[in-house]
Amino acid sequence: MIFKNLSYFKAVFFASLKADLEYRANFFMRVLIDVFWYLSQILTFEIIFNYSPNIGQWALPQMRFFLGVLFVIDALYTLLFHDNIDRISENIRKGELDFILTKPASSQFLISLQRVSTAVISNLLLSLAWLIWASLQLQTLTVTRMLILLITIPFSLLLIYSLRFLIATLSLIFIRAENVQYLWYQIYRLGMRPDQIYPSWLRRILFTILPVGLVASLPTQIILGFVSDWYLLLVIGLSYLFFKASQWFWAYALKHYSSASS
Amino acid sequence: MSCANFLNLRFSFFKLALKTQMEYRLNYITDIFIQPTLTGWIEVLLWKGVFLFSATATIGGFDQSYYFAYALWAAFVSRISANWMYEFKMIEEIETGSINSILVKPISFFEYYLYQFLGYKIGTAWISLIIPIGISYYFNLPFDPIHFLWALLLIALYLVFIFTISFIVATTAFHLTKVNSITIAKNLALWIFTGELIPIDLFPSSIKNIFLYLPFSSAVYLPVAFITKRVDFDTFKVGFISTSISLLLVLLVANAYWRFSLKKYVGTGA
Repeated sequence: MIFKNLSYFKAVFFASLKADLEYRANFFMRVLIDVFWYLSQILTFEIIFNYSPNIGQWALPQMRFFLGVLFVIDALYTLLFHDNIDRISENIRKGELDFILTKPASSQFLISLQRVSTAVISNLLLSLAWLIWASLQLQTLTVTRMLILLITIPFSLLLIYSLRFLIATLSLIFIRAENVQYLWYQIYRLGMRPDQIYPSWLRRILFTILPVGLVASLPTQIILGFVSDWYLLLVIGLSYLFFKASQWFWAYALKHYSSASS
Repeated sequence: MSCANFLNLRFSFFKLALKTQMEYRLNYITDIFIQPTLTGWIEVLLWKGVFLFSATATIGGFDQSYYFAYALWAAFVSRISANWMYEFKMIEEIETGSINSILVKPISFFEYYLYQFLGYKIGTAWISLIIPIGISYYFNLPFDPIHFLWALLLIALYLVFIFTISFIVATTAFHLTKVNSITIAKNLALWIFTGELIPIDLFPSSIKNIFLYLPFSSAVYLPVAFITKRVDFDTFKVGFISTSISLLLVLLVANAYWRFSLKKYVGTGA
């Protein structure tokens, strides 16, 4: 099964690369989009730290490292899932989901990996470069701490995918829910800042019900030694739980799906 | 066509936009209330955290109430001054060839969408802006009602300007097959230039002056800063001047580009 899925992914990757290169202007615009996005995040904190040297435990080098972690996870998510999950609502409205459901593979897998945004590879490289640069600014960072990062990245990716997929599945119930999908971006924005700036009740929510705080903020704090390494188990455990929840909700919503003509 | 018919026709497109949006009420409510409220709240949380954890009472000469007011108003004003939906619609019409049915109508493609765009924006703005007005009064945040009326005028002018830019981007669909990403890149760039993300007055002075004299500051920074008493009228009026001049320029470009593109169009979709 795993080999079958891997070979499917390989085929999707090369098909996507060919398709993306066909529209070169679009390809380069995608690169530009992410550059603007990264720039906006960097500018926000660079300007704030220009006026205040510390925000709680966070100084500018730590914040740059946090942004590096966030960018890498976000680039991986955008590369693999972003476009696919964004199109789920359209897939349903246009009846394309019906075709996916007839195929002999998991519909969640197929709809989540219909194509790969190959233009984002350059952004992934840019994000990695930023992360490496930011890591070098932190002289206290050891190889062991960086290994923790390698463990957390796949789980953070799984978590962000599961959360986004859960919200996208709402389209199966509401059919036209583009603006509800935008709510995801608002929730995600909460995870794009260190959780310590939020009030404690909100932090509890961001670590449990809507765990966007576990995507980049908590992993960064574990690596920087702000919190105990045991929190790693929370990242791993909740990622797995939310992935299972996304599978369950998709199956539940499909039971109530009565095709595009409904 | 008599004057009454001329106005009726345009007003009907104005109303059409509102009716179309009201069809999907959940979408509509999310667009005008939920999204900007959430955005404003998240930004207020950021500034609250910054002021709480940094040992400073003011940033850039303003205390936290100014930042709360700015974050709140910026979230609502930016929703009004942004144009995603109609730009995507225009692009789709050109890409799919469904523009043909509009080209035979007794109204230009530009006007057909401009009146819908303005209808939707004006129709939703007055409802949506009740929230920041209420919150400003309730929490005693910096707010000037007279400045608010001036700011609405500037936003209205900016809407025509940004729609014309959208029209130029959409016209590109006659020449390139996929242009949606231009819209996204443009709007992300505007995120920085408009001051939606962070008040322009916090930027280093050289960058601040450039951003201020660009018409994009009329989208968020200048109206919001004027409403929340962050800038005086002399600074605010720069927005009127730069947006008016830029509007004239983009209208000329849009007209020439449209005529050139339409000559190449063969009526089967781009």
